[in-house]
Amino acid sequence: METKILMSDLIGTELRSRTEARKIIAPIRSVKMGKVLIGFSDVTFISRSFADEFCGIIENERLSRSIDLLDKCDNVDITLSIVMENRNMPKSVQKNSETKEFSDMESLSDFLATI
Amino acid sequence: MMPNKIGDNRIGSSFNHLFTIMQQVNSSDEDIEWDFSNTELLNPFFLLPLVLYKNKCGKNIKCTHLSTSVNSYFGTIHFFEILDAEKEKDFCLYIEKYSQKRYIPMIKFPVSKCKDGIKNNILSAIGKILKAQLNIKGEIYSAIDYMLTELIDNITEHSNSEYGYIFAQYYPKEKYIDICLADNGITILGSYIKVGRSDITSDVDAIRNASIGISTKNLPEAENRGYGIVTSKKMLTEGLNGQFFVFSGGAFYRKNRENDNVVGLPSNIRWDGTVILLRIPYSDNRDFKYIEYLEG
Repeated sequence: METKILMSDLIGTELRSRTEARKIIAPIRSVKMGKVLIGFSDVTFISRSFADEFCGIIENERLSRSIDLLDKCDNVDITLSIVMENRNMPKSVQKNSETKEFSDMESLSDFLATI
Repeated sequence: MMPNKIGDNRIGSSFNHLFTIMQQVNSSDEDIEWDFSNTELLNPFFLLPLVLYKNKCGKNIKCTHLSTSVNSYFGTIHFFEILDAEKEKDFCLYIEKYSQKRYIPMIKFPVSKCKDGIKNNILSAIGKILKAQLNIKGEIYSAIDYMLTELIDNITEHSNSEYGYIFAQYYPKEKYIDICLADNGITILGSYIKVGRSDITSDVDAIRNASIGISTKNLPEAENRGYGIVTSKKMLTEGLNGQFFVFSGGAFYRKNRENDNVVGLPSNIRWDGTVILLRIPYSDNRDFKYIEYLEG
């Protein structure tokens, strides 16, 4: 037995915010038996934040049920894959910034004149 | 006296004028007059923070000696009264009239989680107008949409602000668009303090940590958070050769291909909230793929 949830119906064709991603929890949990299929047909955009929140929810919900993701366009597929792969890896942090501190407007102005 | 012209392409000019005015206002106990008699051309990076500052500084500020052209420009960009997207009956229809203009007017939009759907509809409508104005599609449009989405979702997730603000102007000859986003929230430092990050103690520390993607959560399961600023600045500066600025509390951060600076400001210059400035070149760049910048 399978139950399909269409993201374009539930949220829209552009998946933007973490808050929106949380809307998937209730429909998944309402499925008491069988596999959940989440369809991404017609979805044209997904943000990294949405993808991260969504992947966290799916990881959690997969502990108690089977969930498949279907009909992803390339950008949606790649974004979800990047986020899924990165979730359990240490983040690569690059500290390249040069710090400057100014205590008066005159020296700050001199710096601002260069940027 | 307001500046005559901020027509050069250096973001430092806008900040220089803005900080000078903020300092003058902060040090005055009297009513203030902003004299625009010599003003010809001003930049969005100057104007949106200026009007927000005017509205929240608690001083009585009067704008005087506006020329007919400046007065007309200020009217069309909603300088005198920021467009409240939520109160506009049909915002999507209303904003369509700007599709042939070279700017997105100053718009106020809700950013609280309970109004997320309204915010996303407004954002989607603004994105479509930018797409029409700039006549762009594909990767560049996706990149602009991505950056706006991530940065505005950061306001929702971290700022404790009720509203966000946007203003944009594009320059067809130079082929870039300046987009300014702002909020009146708790600053980046405030968002770290709110979640108990006692190791981050100053605006400079906070903005440096945010610029490298240190999440406010600092939890193993939250490792994938904190990418909004990192991926956006990388996409903008490395991918599109643009410029990225964040001004929050008493510090600002700037990044382009050559420079990466965190700047601590004099104690009498601060923004209670966060301002983000994006200078986005939009000429056709066939090698650019926005998806390549998502890893942060």
